[in-house]
Parts: sequence; C-alpha cells; structure tokens
Amino acid sequence: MDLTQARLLFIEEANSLLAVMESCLLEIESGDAEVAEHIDAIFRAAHTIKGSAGMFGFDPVVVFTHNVESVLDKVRSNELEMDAALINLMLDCQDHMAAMIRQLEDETVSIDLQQGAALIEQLHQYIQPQTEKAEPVKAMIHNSPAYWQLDIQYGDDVFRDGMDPLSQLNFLQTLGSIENVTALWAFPDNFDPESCYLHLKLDFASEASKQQIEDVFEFVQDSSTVVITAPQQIEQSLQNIPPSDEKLGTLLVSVGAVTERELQSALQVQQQLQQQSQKVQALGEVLVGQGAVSADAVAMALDKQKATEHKRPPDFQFLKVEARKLDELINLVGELVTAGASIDSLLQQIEHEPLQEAFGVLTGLLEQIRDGALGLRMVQVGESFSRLRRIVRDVSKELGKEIELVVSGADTELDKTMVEKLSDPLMHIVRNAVDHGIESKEMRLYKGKPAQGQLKLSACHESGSVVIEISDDGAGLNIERIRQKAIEKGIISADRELGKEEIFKLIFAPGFSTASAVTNLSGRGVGMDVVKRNIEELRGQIQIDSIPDKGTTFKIRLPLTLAIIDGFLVRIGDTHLVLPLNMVQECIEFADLHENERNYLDLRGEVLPFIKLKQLFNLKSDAKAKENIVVVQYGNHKAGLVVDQLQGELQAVIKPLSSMFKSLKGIGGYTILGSGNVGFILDIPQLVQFASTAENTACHPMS
Amino acid sequence: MDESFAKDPLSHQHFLTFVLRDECFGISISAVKEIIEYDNVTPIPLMPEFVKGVLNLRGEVVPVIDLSVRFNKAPTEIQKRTCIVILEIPFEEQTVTIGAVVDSVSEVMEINMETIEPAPTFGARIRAQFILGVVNTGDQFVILLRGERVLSVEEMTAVIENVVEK
Amino acid sequence: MPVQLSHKADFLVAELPAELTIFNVREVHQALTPFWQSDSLKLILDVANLEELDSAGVQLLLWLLSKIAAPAQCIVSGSDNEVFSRVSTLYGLHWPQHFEQ
Repeated sequence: MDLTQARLLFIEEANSLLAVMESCLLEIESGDAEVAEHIDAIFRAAHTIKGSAGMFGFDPVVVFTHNVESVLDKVRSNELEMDAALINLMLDCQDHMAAMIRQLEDETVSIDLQQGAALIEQLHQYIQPQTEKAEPVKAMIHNSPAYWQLDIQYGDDVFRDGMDPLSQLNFLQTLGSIENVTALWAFPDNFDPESCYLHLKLDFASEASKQQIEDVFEFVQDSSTVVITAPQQIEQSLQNIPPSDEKLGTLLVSVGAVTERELQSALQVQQQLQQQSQKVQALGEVLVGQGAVSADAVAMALDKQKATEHKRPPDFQFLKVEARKLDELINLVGELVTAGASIDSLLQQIEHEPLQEAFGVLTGLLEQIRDGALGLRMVQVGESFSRLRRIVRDVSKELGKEIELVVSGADTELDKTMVEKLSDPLMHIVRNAVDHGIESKEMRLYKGKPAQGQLKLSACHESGSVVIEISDDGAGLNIERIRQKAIEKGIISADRELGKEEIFKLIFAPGFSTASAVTNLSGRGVGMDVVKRNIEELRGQIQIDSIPDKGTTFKIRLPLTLAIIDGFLVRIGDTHLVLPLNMVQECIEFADLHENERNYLDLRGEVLPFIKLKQLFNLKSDAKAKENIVVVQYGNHKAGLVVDQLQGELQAVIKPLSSMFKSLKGIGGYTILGSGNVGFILDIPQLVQFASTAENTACHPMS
Repeated sequence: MDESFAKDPLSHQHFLTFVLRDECFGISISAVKEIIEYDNVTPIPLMPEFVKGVLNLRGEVVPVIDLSVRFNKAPTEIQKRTCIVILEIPFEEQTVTIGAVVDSVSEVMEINMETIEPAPTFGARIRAQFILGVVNTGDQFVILLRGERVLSVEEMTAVIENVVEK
Repeated sequence: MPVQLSHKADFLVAELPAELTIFNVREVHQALTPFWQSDSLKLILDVANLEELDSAGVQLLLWLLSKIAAPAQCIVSGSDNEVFSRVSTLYGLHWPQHFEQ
C-alpha cells in the first residue's frame, strides 16, 4: 500500500474513532447512557488512535493520546469516576486530538500547543494522586505481581564495550522506581577486573511498556541475557482484549507481554529447533522457555485465539470498502435493472407463460440485489446528529443558555453521500436555533416559559422520503423584522405585500441576516442561502414553520437515494415521464367535460388542483387520446397531473440531467426505459412550484 | 521509410466531412467518437429548437443538437441518410458527449494544414468564430468547423436557460 | 600509586583513589593482589575519597570482599561518601561497616 494512502486511511480511521468518542462522551454527559456502557468504546478509540499513530510515527499524537488513554484506563478499572469535570476535560482532549489529526491532513492548520500542554497537565492530575495512593500498597507486598521483574545476566565484555550497568539503572529510575535489587556475582579463579561477572535481578514498578524497558538494555542486548517478565496485570490485560484472530505472537506483543525482539528471537529459536530435530515446538513454549512470558499468559492468549472461532466481536463485522467500488457496483446494478426491464417488455410481446414466470423469479431476485446494493450506501442519520449534539452543547455553554436536545429517529437510514452533504446545513440551522431562536434564560422566565430551552431533532421515513425536522421552542421568527430587513437589504421592495410563508422564505435569500448583534457563532449573513442550495442539490426541499413565542421548525425533505427509484411510467405523445411511485396516490380518468379554463376538480369533495403537463411542457399529443389524471402527494400537498396514457410501474435508474439542461424545471433526471427510449423523471415538488409560478406569471404579467 | 516519418503529423490532419443543407463541412476526427443513424431521439420539453432531444447511447444519455439550427438555418428534415455524429467536446476540464445531426456523412479526408485558408469574413452565413478555415479540395470548398465552439456547452447552456426562464 | 596502603594495628588500610572505574580497575586490582593471599588479612577499605565509581569499580570491591576468607575481617570505611552510597543503593548492596565480634 502506498504511504499516502495509508496515511489517509489512518486519518479517516482516527476521525471516525474521534466521532465515536465524542458521541459516547456526550451521551454520558446528557445522561442518555451509563459510563459503563461506553467507557470501553471510548477507551478503545483512544487506544487505537494511539496505536495507529505510533505506527506512522506521529509522536505528538501518541504522547498526547497516551495520557488520555491512561486516564480512561483508570475510569475503566473504576479507580476514577467519570464526572462532569472529567467529561469536559475529555471533550477538550478529543477536540485537541481532532485538531492534531486535522493538521496531519492539512499542514496549514495550527495547533494550540499551550492548550495541549495544559490539557496534559490536567490529565496528569488525574493520573498522579492515584499512583501515590497505590505506592504504599506496592511497597508492602513484596515481589508483588504488579512489578516488572528484570533479570539481567551481563556478558563478559560489557565493561570493555564501554557499557555501564549503573547508567542503565540510572535510566531505569527515570521510568519508574526500582525495588529490591539483588546483585549476584560469580567470580572465577582467574578474575579479570575488566570482565563483567555481574547478574542483576530487580523488581521494577513502572507504567512503561515492555518495549520501553527493553530499550534501556538495547546496547547490552547482544552480549547479555535480559529477561523481562511482565507484571501479572499486563498479562491479565489479555483477558480484557476482545477475542482476536491475530497470531499468538502478535497478540502477546499487542498487550505488551512480549516485545517484538523477544518474538523475533523466539521465532528464530523455533526455526532452529525445527531444523535440528525436525520437531516443531510451539511458539508459546519457546517464549516461556526464554522467560519472555509466563505460561499463564500464553494460555490466556491461546484462549482468546480460540474464542474468535466462535464469536467475532462487532469491530470485525465491518468492512472498509472504497466508495468508488461501491459506486461501480451500483452502476452495474442499475444497468442490470434497465436490461431486465427491456427483456420484460419483449416478453410482454410473446405469449410464453413458463418463460414469463421464470423471468418473474429473476425479477424478484434482481429487486433484492438492487435493494441490497443500494443498502450498502445507506448509513444512519445519527452520525450527523451526534455532531449537532456537540454544537448545541458548546454553543449553549458559551451563551449561558440551558438547552435540552431531544433526538429521535437517529437510526433512520439515508444515502451516505447525503448524510455527508447534510451535515453542514444541519449544523447551520442548529447553530441559528441555539443562537437566535432560543431566548436567554431571563427572557424565557419573563415570558413564562421554562428556563431550559428545548431543541428537537428528528428523522423519519415518510412516503419514500426522509424527513428531518429541527424545531426549537424559542421566540419564533419575527415577521415584521424579517420584512424590514429584507427591504433594508434591497431584497424586496417596500411596497411588496407578502404572505407569512413568503416572508419566512426571505431568510434563505443571499446576504440576509436578522441577528441584531452579530456574534461569532452565527449571524454573519452567510449560511441560510447556502443551506437551501445544499438541500436543493440533494433533490430535497426545506420548509419553515414558525409561531411567535412558540418556536420555529425547519423541515427538510430528502429523497432516500440518489441512484434508483421505483417509478410510475406515463406517456404524453412520444414523451415518457416517470413519477416517483411513492408519491402517486391514485389514477383517475380525466373527463374534461367542462370546457372552462379552471385547473382544479372535485375529488370526492376535495379541491384538487391539476397541471396539464402537455401544456406546461409544450408537448405534442394525439388530440383524440383519452386523458388520465395521476394524483400525487408529497407532504401536505396534493396535485393532479394530466397525462395521455398510464403505463405502469417500473424501476428507474436515475441518470443526472446534462449540465446543459439544468435550468429545466420539474425534471430531475433521465432514465433509460426497457424499450431503449429515454424517459424523464419528474421532480414533483419542483414541478408543482414551476406550474404555480407559470400560472402566477400568466395571471399577473406585470408583477 | 516508415510512413509515419514521412509526414509531419502537425502538417496533415484528418477531417470528417459531412453535408448540411447542400454545403460541405469538415470537423477534426480527434473529436469524433462515432457516427450513428438518426433514430430514437427523445425530444426534451421546453427546449429551444436547436436541441433535438436526447439519445440512449448504450446506457449513456447524450444530448442531440441540430447543427443546421445552430447555423441559423431551417431545422434538419429527417431523411434516410440523416446521421448523428457523436462528438466529445471539452467542458470544464472534462469532456461532454454530444450528438450533432447532419444530412449525410461523406468521408474522412487528410488535409494539409498549410492549404487551409482563413475563414471568409462574410459569405459563409455562419458565425465566423465557428470556422477554423476553408479548404479547396478541387471540386468543392469544405468549411472546417471548430467543434468546441460550434457545440460550446457554456454558450448552449446559457441559451437554454434564457429560453426556459422566459 | 593507585591505592594508598598503610597499616593500622593489624589492619591493612586501603585508601581508594578518587576514581575507581574501568580505566583503573586493573591497576588497583594488581596493587592489592599481593595482600589478599595472606589468610590473616584484616582489611579496611577506605572509600571516602571516591568521586567516580562505575560498575567495574563496584565489581572490584565485591571481588575484594569475596576474596577475604572471613567476611568479618573486612570493613568499609567512609561509606557515607555520596558517590559510594548512591551506587550502593542502586545496586542494593550492603557493606560490612563493623567487625563482627
């Protein structure tokens, strides 16, 4: 793998782990989850980031994360309580880590080093008192299993090579505290004062890793025998790691029970033994024989390996796939669907029941493959929601507001590209709601509202679209002020009469901002127009509803996917149009008895406005043909579309319009029909809007 | 001697010639992807006249432009020999595939670039900026077109926008 | 002279130099060799002057001690010397400071 790619993978992995960490912390903070539920996930996130960063040599990340991890570990072992202050600190640390990762991506990002140091300082305060408390206990229990045990049999030439065991002891002291040193010696008759006959055994209390300890003896490694036995605690950490299908050696190295060097030399010994005696000795046995690790630890690691055969933990149930490969697959499935439709239309022409039945089975499978393929791109909206949680928390803290965030439907699934593109607009709306929507505590109390404001985020499926709502219980939009502002900014003329909804829409106009005091959070007058544009790019719509002093609701409606839809095919003359099936309510025969000009009819007592597509799109059609009305519904809107012929359901692979035709209203894309002809996919909401604008223009040509 | 050494590739280029309203035009074959019969073009609602519609080219939806209308002449009448020349036109660092309707396709000619004369400032009744030059093949004049200008995506988009918004 | 030797009553007093390291252990070793062979040697190792002591030096001291037939016949004086006591602590060594009666 090329390094830049590996680096990108690391950054991506780190970012998603940081997101996990953040959302877990926030859930604990808000009381939605217990510490115990999430601490493992948080710890694992920090641990994995540290590990991967280490592989790439991103030392600052490793050092910082190590401290975070140490504190988390204490929480995990119930030595520390995850209280509000610690959550706060952890969130700050998470921010700092995110900044460090961002810097890896983009060197122009600067990191507040002082802040980093201050955070480490704070983390240390959590780590320190604990070790002090633990000290006397350690001192009491002699040869406690919490100690590293070092056994160094120095080689003859150590002194002559310029090494001094004393300096190693000195250096060891910087890593921890040396206890119970026993110096042994065995002098031969022909004692040579320049040869070394020393043999040291010592207990060592330290947080350092086995690798770090081994490194102290790096220069005497060749001439001497150094055996480092991990404290039981480390070996027991084997128990805490999830079952794994790693090799035994890798597993032992990963928990720090064995160092890489010990593993290599054991592997060598194993190989030699095999060559000499043709007998295979298990790696575990060799390691134990070398004194690198205890037999217990090996047994434990072997258990973990076996456990994987039965149970794979959730971490391993995910597979990272390049997005491009997925897109290619979905494209192919699209072609397959089109090809299937074309066979289907050919089969209609021949009377061969068995063949049609067989094909019916194939079609069923095809649909499953299609849904499965599209499902691969689906992710839960919750991913974006958790980012919003953070914003609500930070912004409300900064402004001194108390805001409760209520989230529902976070498990609603949406195409991944949409979730990504949705994240910025959602962030903006939420920021605005916290900043401008929800009043200050005093104002709320004055108005007789509870001091704590409420922000609701919800997502749900509604007739084949996904609806996301962001509603606050704040002051609501001030119609008069928006109007004034729009006039000031020259967006509308002063004498223009506008309905409530039209006024609300003004806040989406470029350069509009109602914040009288511009804060650093929002109110810079960019944003809402971008929000609207982003959502429209996703073939979605945004609506606002607001009641003074009751609050404001933003409603975003999005299509489920950008690739394939279940459609309903209609025809006008030679033009084939596809309606999204989920919006089609019913079809009725259109008896245009009334020769008058009115464009609505009575549908079981209800007024149903209709659109003559033939006229709207200026299409040619057979004058004699009987017309039909397709009743479509989206949200609360209902409309009838007048067409020539109903041709039934189909699966339409959406192909985006050429950029040349992007000004075309009401048509969202093409699709290739079974006949090989090109059909147009209607964008119903846009179409209705287009029709009503066209009608307005026709009625009031001057406005 | 190898033929490729014999000629300077810059001095000779291949042009596809075709007939439009009894006049002969040429376009560099480097832009030509393929030539197909005129069939199955689906009209697009509300489009200006030069947009004939779209075509399904093996799964790709390709806009089809009536060159005759682009040259301010009457729309092409579809006949037996009517063809669509599929061209690749550069646009915003990519290429866009566009079909151009012509009355008939003649041949691929090798043209010595030095024999190309500049476009007449008037008389061709086509916007001068569309024309690369004119070449005399002995029995007729061939007007060589600048594909990227004749089918400028940017300009056509603006024209369509204008028509649709009206 | 690497080692200052003198006699006090029936003791041999070996006053160690300021430096006892790999660079001079051989000399010191040679200087003391003639004495340890006598069985009745009572040795006082004076380490008060030590300013530099490395592992080779420590080893030499250990060797000296091991060579005295009866451990009771050797004591270390001046062991409150800073360098000496620091090294001894690191090695976990306890030196005989009094003669056993």
